[in-house]
Amino acid sequence: MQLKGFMFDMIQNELEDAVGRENCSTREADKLVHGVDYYWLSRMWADRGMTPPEADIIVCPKNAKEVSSVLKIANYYKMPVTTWGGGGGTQGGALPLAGGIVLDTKRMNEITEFNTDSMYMESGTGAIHTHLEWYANERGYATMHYPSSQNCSTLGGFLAHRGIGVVSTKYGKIDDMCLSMEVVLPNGDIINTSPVPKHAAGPDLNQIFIGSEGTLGVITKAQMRIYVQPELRWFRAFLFKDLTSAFAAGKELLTKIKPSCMRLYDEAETVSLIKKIVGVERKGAFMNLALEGMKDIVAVEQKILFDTFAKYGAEDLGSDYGEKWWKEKITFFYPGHMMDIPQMFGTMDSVATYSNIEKIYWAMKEAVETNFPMAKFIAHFSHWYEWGAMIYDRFIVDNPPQDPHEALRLHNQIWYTGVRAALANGGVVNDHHGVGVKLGKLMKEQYGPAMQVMEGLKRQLDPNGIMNPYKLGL
Amino acid sequence: MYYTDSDKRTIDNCRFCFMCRHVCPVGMVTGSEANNARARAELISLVNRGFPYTADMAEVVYECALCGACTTQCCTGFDPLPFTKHARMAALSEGIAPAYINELLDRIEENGSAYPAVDNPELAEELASLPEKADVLLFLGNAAAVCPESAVAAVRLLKKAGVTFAVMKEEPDCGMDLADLMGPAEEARQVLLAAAEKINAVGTKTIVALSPDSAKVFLREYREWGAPLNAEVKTFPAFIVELWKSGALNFKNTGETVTYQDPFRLARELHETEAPRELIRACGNLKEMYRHGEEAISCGEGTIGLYRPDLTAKMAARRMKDAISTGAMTIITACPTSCAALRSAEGLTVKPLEVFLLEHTC
Repeated sequence: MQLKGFMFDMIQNELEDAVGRENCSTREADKLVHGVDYYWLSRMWADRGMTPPEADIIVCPKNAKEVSSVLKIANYYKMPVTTWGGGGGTQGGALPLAGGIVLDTKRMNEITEFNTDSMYMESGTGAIHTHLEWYANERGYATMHYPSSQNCSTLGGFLAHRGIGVVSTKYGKIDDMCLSMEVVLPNGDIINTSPVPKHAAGPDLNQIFIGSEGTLGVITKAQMRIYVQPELRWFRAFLFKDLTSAFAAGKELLTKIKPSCMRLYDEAETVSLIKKIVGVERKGAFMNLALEGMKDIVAVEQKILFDTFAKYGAEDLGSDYGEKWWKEKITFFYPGHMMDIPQMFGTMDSVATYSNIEKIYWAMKEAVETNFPMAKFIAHFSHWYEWGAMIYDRFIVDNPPQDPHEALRLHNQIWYTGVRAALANGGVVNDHHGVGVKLGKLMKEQYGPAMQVMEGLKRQLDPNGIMNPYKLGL
Repeated sequence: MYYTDSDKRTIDNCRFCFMCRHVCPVGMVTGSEANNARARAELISLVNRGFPYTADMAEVVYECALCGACTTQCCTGFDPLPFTKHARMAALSEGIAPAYINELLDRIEENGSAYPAVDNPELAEELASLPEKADVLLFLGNAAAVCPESAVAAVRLLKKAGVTFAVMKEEPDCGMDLADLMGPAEEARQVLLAAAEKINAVGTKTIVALSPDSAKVFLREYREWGAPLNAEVKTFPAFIVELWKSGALNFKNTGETVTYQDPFRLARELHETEAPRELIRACGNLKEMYRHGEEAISCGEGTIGLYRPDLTAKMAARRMKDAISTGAMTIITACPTSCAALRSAEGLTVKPLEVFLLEHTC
């Protein structure tokens, strides 16, 4: 279709009619800022002075009704719609790669219910997550969802890609925290998922839309769990002789108690972390964890922790590191504290059973270091379950190609190589950053014929294929 | 040519960092992706890489309230305000600044100030008896035009404390608005130089700046821009605290529950959060908003209200909700433009600090 001239003005007027003229923009500045998210490739592209992917129009609806109107218009004209929350995603999931409409959700930020009887809060999905945390804290509660991106990302963004926070081992991922959602389907119908997440009324609609990255509709409102603040949050750090013993200790601990936070670092990261704590470089596997809740229960858990870890020869390194880490847990996300351009980097997180997780670590490390000798490989394991753990493995290239096409090629090659090593050893495409455009092509490699379930949903719900094209492999 | 090396370093660090978006008061009310430091940095970084500097980019640059919440929030210490001001200077120089900015600048050039002439009989009566010169100069700034009741109360408080002070009959514009609108442009510097010359001619030892806007520009920009003042500058709350502690003023505590809105110039730029609180606690019961002090969320005060009153009204309405949630019936402000902004929102009674204090003197 022709999106210029007379017809574009006509469509623009329809969208303005739907959300208000002041909430529709064709300003070049607005298009440019929606063309760069936290994806390394989009940042590199802008850094090299290349034109970012651009939408034709940005719309900012206030509620599900307005979203519905926008999607009906988009469907009629078969215009692509890319939903944008905070743009804090690393997989390019929010980039408007096919042009069309960017549907920015941040005006849908109203907190509509704070229910301490049933321990949830209801909010528009455009709310910045830290604002939800402030709201809960002000009333003596907490969201317990603390990813590094909490300041910049929206609730909807976290739901869209199945986000996770640093205390997930006790409180769960974002998909564990969601009770119910309001969703606008691509045809404009407004639906609600089941009133509660646990039931036997068929498949869980929440879990169909959570993680769908804007390809199946727009999540406009959600009821999210709230938690009482713990009486005590207590940190302890340990040094194991190697990853194997640390995994064994962690696995056993999870059969007895649930720390809120568990972070195990590989040898490369351990060496630098330990030097900061004890002043000298030491090899091994460093683990920092937190126990929290009622003081009396934490006291019992502390004994179980020490007894369990002693069996595996863990050296107790005290609480100072953990307390400092907690205070500064998102500081590393600020410029100057973490990797940034000109470095090339990526976090190829995966998750697997205890039988496979260490195998994945060694396979990914070997695949990256062997095929890309210019890349450093580091990893930690920061979300633990009774059955397995998540690996947060990163590659870093200090001097990537300046040519944007070459840099893009190298970046993708490292990603494909690393993630395929994870898939070959029982891992998944991603643990908690999502798929986006970056990993879409690998979805079929993970799922095989199971992918037809997602493709069938996509065909049925979005027959015109307007919702977030080129994402999730759909 | 418009950006310093420090600007360029800040721009390139902020352009991909989304970590302060949650504190941007403009972004909070518009929901626009363009309204945060990251967006401005990204746009200017693209300009620095060959993209044209367009009128709508300049519009984004002027949509910033310059409240400094992003600066206070940054763990690394980057300050996006200087490059934002330099981007404004570039926009004006390249003729792409929004029309409403040019109209405002024309008005300032024509009238010598962004504010209408003061025509308040009560204030005029209070000022009539004051000497032309004294060791203490009360600089009314925009209070006289924006919130004359605070100026009247300030004069009465000083009289009650027995302070011998002067107020300039032809008070010059302090230049804060120009500095915000133009950045460190030569035209703005000339206004500051002229104002400094007039103020210095009073021969005072202490300047008490009633408006935080004036205090900020006196304490931060004048010396830096080569227009030093030959007197010590104090904010009004800090000066009143001195008088109170010396016994020149006494307050009675009525137990009234109030909340307090920190003006960003006072709290973040001058790091003065305690003086107003000490005074408020001496008069009543202070209930804090969740985000307060240097972390306070702007209510739309400052220069932005002169050219984007729509944004100021939205920010004030948002902040008023925070104030209401404290359970207080009154919100105290220590800034004329904060007072005016908050009064545009429905909710609590908005009272200037000076009026509140005068009511509680004994």
